[in-house]
Amino acid sequence: MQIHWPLVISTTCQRVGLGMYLCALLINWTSGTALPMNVVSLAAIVFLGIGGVASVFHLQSPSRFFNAFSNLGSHLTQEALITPFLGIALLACGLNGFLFDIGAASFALEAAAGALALAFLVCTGLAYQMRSRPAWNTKFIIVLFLLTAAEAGSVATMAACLGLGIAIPDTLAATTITCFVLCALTQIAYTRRMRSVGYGVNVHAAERPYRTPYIAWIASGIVGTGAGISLALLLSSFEGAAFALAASALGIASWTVLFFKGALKAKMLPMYPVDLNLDI
Amino acid sequence: MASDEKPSEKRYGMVIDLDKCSGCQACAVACKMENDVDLGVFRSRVYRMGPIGEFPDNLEMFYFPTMCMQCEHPSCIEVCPTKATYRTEDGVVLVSANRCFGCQYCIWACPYEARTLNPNTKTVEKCTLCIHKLRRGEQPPCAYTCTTGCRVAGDMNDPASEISKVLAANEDRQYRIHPEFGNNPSVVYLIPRKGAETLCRSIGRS
Repeated sequence: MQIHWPLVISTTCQRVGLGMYLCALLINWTSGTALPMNVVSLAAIVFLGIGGVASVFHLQSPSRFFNAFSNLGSHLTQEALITPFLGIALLACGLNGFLFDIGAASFALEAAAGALALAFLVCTGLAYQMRSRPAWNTKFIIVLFLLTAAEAGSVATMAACLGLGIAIPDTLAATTITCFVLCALTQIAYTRRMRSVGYGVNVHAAERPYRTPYIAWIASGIVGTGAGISLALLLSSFEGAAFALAASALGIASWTVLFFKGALKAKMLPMYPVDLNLDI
Repeated sequence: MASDEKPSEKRYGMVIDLDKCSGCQACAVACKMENDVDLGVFRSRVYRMGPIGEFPDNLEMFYFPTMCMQCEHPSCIEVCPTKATYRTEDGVVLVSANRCFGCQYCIWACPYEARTLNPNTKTVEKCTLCIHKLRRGEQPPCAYTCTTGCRVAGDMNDPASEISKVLAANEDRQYRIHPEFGNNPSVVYLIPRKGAETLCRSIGRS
């Protein structure tokens, strides 16, 4: 399958931004950390905005964007319907404390934005589960979308803590390590599964033409992110956390490139060597 | 007919006899001409499967025409966020070019390589089964142009139609592509009597 770069950029930004918002929210609730959610919300809006602009570039006729709200059964329509509510909720969270102060109601507003952020990520993940693409015909897809968001989000929250001079809570440190390990294991399991999806479209990630994004993912998503997380946790280094965040985002992007390249369409008659796959 | 009985709905489809197809591509050309299909866009293709095996006894080869399968449960309709893709009452899947915004999810979701993005119109195109012809009682150009008569289109729910007769006469050779996906295509292939042993073995036919 061709690489759809606007979608690589948009899904990466959405996972980093919304993952960060959700992790910061949960860490504030569970460990009593005082991360300023208005700043986190504004940062999430920036990521969501970049992702939104990128995804518009994917459309061939973007002037017809408003037709996207028509089919409630389509995960893309669900995603499009959630987006404005999520944007408004995040904007309200972002302005809370700057332009106005809603006091105790902040909790409800932040929770609502969190629920919408989670729903958005779930819809995006579900949109890519397709029977016609054997590599995507699996529950791995939704798990991967949520886990990558959790990993990038926890790393971003760690960077936010260190940048604002807040000590990294033990819960956050444990969450980051757990998400990183789980994410890497799930991605490895997905790569192994691609080798035997059948329908004449088995994909060996370590071979051409998948090799480059595969190596880029290992270098950035595993080695780079792991090293950055270690530096951030052992030395309380903001630079380490920032490096881990950049590496994690790059790892998600590389992984998404591999994800697209490996999503070959089921051959119609896979028992014959003729390749009907038109790579569209 | 009793007053409470409703006439069964039409279900337009096509049967393609792979034993007859000679790979001449007349159907692909006729489709292009009838629908004024742009360069780089295809609604109908013919592929050659094989040759594999060894001459003279184990050689396999046949031609395989492809098009939109006009599914009963189309994946393209499920995913289309704009409802540009829809199914008519007579079972034909169509694309409304005025609603399509070119997200291409239908192309990804279709298991049958039936759709193409037209780079000129920026919308997705596919075979319409020439529904304008079928509704007038005519055959689609790909069928009437076919040099070997391997294609027959019509109402599969009408027992008196030509397609129903062809299907009834060839029950043992009927094959729908990827039935496990649950799309239930309305394009039915009649598998070749000779030259497709690998296909027959893999789908459990002798």
